[in-house]
Amino acid sequence: MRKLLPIVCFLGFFSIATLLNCYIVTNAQTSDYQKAYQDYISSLNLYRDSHFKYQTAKNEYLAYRTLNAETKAFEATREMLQKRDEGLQSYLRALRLRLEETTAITNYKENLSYLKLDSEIGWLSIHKDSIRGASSIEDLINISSQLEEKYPSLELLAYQTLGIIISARENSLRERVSTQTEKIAEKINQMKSEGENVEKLQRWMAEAKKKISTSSEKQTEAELKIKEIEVNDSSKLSSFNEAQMSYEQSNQYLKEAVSYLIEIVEEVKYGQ
Amino acid sequence: MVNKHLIGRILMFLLLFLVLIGGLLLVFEVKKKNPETTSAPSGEIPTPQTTQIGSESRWATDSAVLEIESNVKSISQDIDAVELKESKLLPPTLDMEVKF
Repeated sequence: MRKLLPIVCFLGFFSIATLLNCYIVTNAQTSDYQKAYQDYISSLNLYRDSHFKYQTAKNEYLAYRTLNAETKAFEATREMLQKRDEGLQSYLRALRLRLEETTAITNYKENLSYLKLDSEIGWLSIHKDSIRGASSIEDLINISSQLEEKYPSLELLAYQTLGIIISARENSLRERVSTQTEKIAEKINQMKSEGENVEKLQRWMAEAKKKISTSSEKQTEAELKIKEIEVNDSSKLSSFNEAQMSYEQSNQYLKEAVSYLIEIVEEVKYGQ
Repeated sequence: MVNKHLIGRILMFLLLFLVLIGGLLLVFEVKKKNPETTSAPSGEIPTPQTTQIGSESRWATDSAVLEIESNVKSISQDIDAVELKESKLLPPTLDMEVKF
């Protein structure tokens, strides 16, 4: 039994070490965006809690107008405003990382969006610091109004960034579809040069290319809808939803193009 | 002597117990990473084949054609899976009217 002791020890430590390694690897696989998104959700929950406390303290103050109620309302408002800034900061960080992990974004757009997002995150940081210096409820109301004025432009930036992210995904897919379309066209030309009748295939190819082109048009339509959103537009979300519908149509045309390509390949393999 | 013998045995049992627990946890971890997919039916109805499959042409085994076929099918899956809504990242609803 004693001779077996080192083997048992080794096996025990090996099992535990492997298990620990499994956990470390699993945690490391969580992307930066996922972490940022979780931070954003946590910040939003903290904001909601503080907002509830603010509402309660505000109502008490408005009802009793005592010094004690005023102090409580001041503290609750200050806390809520700080959490609101933190929530927005973490939202913009999550958006920035989503942009970062999306491929095929042209450098210009990517850099410009990064600059804008970083600038707004910086502004929120300064704004949050200014909340600490407030000494009365009036001060807090004034500081809060700065963000109220700023918020429409933050919303616009968010919708524009989301548009860039979705466009980048569609562009990447369309590029891949176009590459395969070109390859099939080359193959059809080769078949033609070797005496095959490729009239039907060429007709189908023209249909597939038409779908790709319409997909591109629908995407441009979506991008235009986002571009037309104004800072003070009260219906930003509905305009963005309209743009999303165009993106979906664009994707649908791309799907149809791919389905045609699959049929063309089937025809090449079995129809000749 | 008896006590030492007893302590040795207890240690051996403890180690064996640790090995057993470690092994079990490893098995659970592996199962968690590779969940069985065959147990639950997806409920999806297979799409009927629209193309009449005839005899293979001489291009059916062409490496370029096979590569295109594989690429196109992979793109088709990616198109189905692409995220176009990003609804989780829509601007949050916050109280922007702080008044007393």
